[in-house]
This record gives sequence, C-alpha cells and structure tokens, in this order.
Amino acid sequence: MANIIQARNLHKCYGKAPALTDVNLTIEQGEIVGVVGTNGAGKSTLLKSILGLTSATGELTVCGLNPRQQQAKLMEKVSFIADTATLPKWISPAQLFEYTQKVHPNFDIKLAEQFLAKTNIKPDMRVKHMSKGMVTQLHLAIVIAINSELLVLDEPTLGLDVIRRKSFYNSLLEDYFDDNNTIVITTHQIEEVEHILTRVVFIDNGQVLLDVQMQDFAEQFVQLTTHASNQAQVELLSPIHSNKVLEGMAYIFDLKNSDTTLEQIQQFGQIKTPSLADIFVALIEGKTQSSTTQQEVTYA
Amino acid sequence: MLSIYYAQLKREFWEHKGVILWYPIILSAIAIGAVLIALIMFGDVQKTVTVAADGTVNVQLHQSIDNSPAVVNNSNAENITTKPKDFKKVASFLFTMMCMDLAIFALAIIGNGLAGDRKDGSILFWRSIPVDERDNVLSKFLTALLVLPAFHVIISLIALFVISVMVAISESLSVTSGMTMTAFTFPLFIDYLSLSIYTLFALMWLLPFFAWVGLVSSYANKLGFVWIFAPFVIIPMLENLFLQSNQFWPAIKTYIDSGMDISVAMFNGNWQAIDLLPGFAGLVLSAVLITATIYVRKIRID
Repeated sequence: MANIIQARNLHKCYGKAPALTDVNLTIEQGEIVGVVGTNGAGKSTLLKSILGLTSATGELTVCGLNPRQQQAKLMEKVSFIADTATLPKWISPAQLFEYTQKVHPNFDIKLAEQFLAKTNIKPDMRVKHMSKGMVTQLHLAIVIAINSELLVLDEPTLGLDVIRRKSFYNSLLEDYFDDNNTIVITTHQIEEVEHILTRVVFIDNGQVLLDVQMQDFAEQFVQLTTHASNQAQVELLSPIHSNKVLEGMAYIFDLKNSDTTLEQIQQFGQIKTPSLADIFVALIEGKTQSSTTQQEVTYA
Repeated sequence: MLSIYYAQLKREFWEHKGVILWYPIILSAIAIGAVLIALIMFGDVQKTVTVAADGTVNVQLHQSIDNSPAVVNNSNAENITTKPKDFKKVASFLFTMMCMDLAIFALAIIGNGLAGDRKDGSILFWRSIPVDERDNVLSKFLTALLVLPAFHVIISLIALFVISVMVAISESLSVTSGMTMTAFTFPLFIDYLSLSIYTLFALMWLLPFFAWVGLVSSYANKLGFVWIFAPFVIIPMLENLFLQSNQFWPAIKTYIDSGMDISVAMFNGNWQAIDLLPGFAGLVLSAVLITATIYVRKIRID
C-alpha cells in the first residue's frame, strides 16, 4: 500500500509553547486512523500541518505533495471537515454544488445531490437557516461527492446529538469509504469511532504517546479486575494504571513493554481487553504520576 | 483558469448580491417612482414658449398648486442656451456621488471578504477547495472594482433612460410642445453615460487605498478600523516630529484630486491636461500591497 502521509521529526511552536515535538507518523492507503488527545495536545496542529494550513519544521509529504507549498493542488486529493461548522452562512446547497463543480476536478454533483435527497435539506435553503446537524450533512455530501484519496476529520461531530453522530459515521463508511480511501479522525468521543478505526494514535503535549494497530491492541493491553486483597501482589507485576471499581480494583497492563505475561495476570481475577478510552486515561494519568514523582525527587 | 475566475466572481456575486444588485435596483426604483409621482402631481404645469423674430427663446412657467397663489418663473434665452452646460454639471455631480457610493461598497466587499471568513471560520472550508489564495484575493478585488461598478452603472443608466423617456412622454402629452424638455433631458443621459465610462478609471485610481484595506483585513483580528486609519495619523505625526514637514496629507489629497480631475478632463476631451504618472506609482504600490495580502492570506487562517 502507498504511503499517504509521511511525517518525520515534525516540530511546531506557537511562540515559546511547543505544539508538536518530534512527531513521526506514516499512514498508509486504506487506513482509518484515530488521533486521540486532550485539549491542547496538538491534534488540530498536527492535522493543520498535514493540510498545509500551518507551517511545521521537519519532513512532511501528503499524497506525494508538500502540503505547505502545494496546498491548493493538495486539496484536489484531500477533503477535510473542521471541528466547527465552517460552511459560509450565506450560501445554499445549490450554489455550493455549482461552485464546487466548477472549481474541483473530482467533484461529482450527481452524487452530492443524491446524498442530499436523503436528507431534509432543500437545495435553496441557506446555511444560516440550517441546524448544526444539517450543516454537517451538507458538508458530508460535498466530501462524499469528491471521493478524495485522503479525508481528514477534525472533531466532525462536535455538538451533534447521538443519532446524528451515528448517522455521520454510518454514511462515512457506507457512502465514502472503500479500501482506496484513507481517513484520519480526531475526536474526544473515542468510544464512537473505536469500532471503525484500523489504527489509533494517542498524542499528548505535542508528542506521540502510543501508535498501535487495532488488531494488535488486544494483544498488547489487558485489563484485570481483582479483589482489593490482591493489591500488593498485583502491583508487583507493574501495571500502567489502577483504579477502584465495585468489585475491588482494576489494573491495566501493557504486555508489550513489560515482562509480565498473561498467565501471571490471569490468576488474580477476570481479564478483558480495555477500551481505547481506558488506555488513553491510563497513559495520560500514568505520565502525570510519573512527572509528579520526578518532581518530588527533585525537590526532596 | 478563466472558468475558475468565472466561478469565483459568481460566488462573490452571490455573497454580495445585496450591494451589487439589489441596492442600485431599489435606488433606481425610488428615483423612477419619485419622478413618476412628481410628473403625475405636477405634470400639469403650464408653460408658454415664445420664439422672437431674432431667434431668442422665452419660456414662461406658470405654477399653480391647489389654492396657492400662482408663481410665474421666466427663463430668458441666455439661461436656456446654458442649460446643456448646467446638465454637464448635474451629470458630473451624479458621477461623483456614484463613485463615492461605489468606493464605500468596494471597501466593504474587500474588507468583509478578507476578514469575514476568518471571523466565522468559513476560511477553513474555502481552504479545503483547490483554489489558490491568489485567485481568491484577486477575485475579490475584481468583484469590488469591476463587477460592482458594472452593475451599478448599467442599472443607473437604465433608470436615467427610463426617467428621460417618462419626462419626454409627459411633456409631449401636455398642450405645449414636449420637445423643449426632451432636448434638455437626453443630453443629461448622454453626459452621464460618457462619465460612467470613467468610473472604472476612478476606482482604479483609488486602488492603493483598497489594497491597503485588503491587507489590513487579511491580517488584523481586532481593531481593523484602527489599523486601516493608523498610517494616515501616525505618518503625518512622525513627519512633523522628525522632519518638521507636512507633505503626507497634501500628497494624498493631491493624488485623489488629480484622479477626479483626469476623469473630468478625459470627459471634456482635454487630453493635454492629463498626467498619468501618479497613477502608475499608485499601481505599483497596489501591486505590492495585493501581493502582501495574498501572502498573509496563505499563512493566516484565524
């Protein structure tokens, strides 16, 4: 499979504040990659660098092009939906389709109109009279009709109700995605996209915390639920995170980066594959505890 | 490339349809309506036109409204022969008013076009379309300086023609000959048509100001108005402070006045009085500012 995105040693600062620090990322054709992080982690900065909307030092190629220097050309191959409803308020769907048809070589107006016909949106209805869900549907109609090589979604379902969010991702998979497309999604609502991702990247403070294929995820991370009386023994196995639950204690283990085996963990209770959200919290809180401990050592 | 610019201009037309199309139509409709009402209410004004043996023309207007006392106005031949020159002044006045109108709307199109999409976030959508920012910026200037004046001029010419025909018809229906008024109103139309050709020239002469507004709109997030006018306050202050001179504001005024003078000189066929050198300097400055605008638009999305 061809590499759609190749990023090496990406750095970006806003003033003195680092937004991206030594980010290395390669995304192949056909992948659906989720980029997960807290507010201010650097997700949007990473996406904007990929789209050529902001500059970053390092090597970066998207669809074989330099995104910063060939931004307009890149947009023939890439579509994106930003986190806020960014369609102009004065425009109507008919005008939007007509304009896009004239300036975008890969836009199929019939596809867009077919998709719109399945919604409540009328062709002459202005965006300012649409709800947020309708605006997202209209934007999705454009994206589906372009059928680009790479689709970048930056919090596309922010502010939508659960029905609209599910409908959005269903439409994405049914009407847009085939094995030739590549999708990169940033979202806070990890649980909604977990089932469609082929790969997940955790980013925090501008650095990549974790980059794992979903098929390898279950082999790498294990969650153990055990009685509180086993706490001392379990903690000898170096879990990356622990928290209290109704049954006692829950621990998360990273089998790839420790010497602990599955058999050692299984004897203490029930095991299962943790959710992405659990792993993300585990890694972030684990990082926080680690830095706090270092600080205590420093000032002791 | 041409189809992209056509699509861009059409997009700008949709966005600014109010000022490009509806404003001149409404204004013209009001003017036509006002003249129509005036002709209906006061169309029965009686005139006595006498032509003496030596060819002098005398027009006596008798005005009588309801029970008001009659007022008689006399126009002697000299005033009648100067009427065409008076209408040239009227045409120049209408031309100047239209240019002021167009300048304000052009500033609004350029300023709002280059700042509004950053404010409401729609720039993120426009940047997802494969149109270079160079084409985006240039199409906004073309809309402000070409499309906007074209619509205003054409619609105002149509309105003025309709008014001229209405007046001519009204006069021809009255007892006295309507040809006198027709001869006076159609030269007004012709003079205004001739001056309208120079609208584009007048707006291009002001291009440096539009280009500066475009650059500020592309960059400033807050206090855009302050940024626009700041150089016109700060530069004279610094000039006075460090150079003890006062050349900046007179130079601006001279530049603007020379543009309008050239328009009128071209209108009157006085080609020797035309000096286009300041205009070339203005074009160079405009090119620099517009290039800077394109660069800023490429690097700023918020």
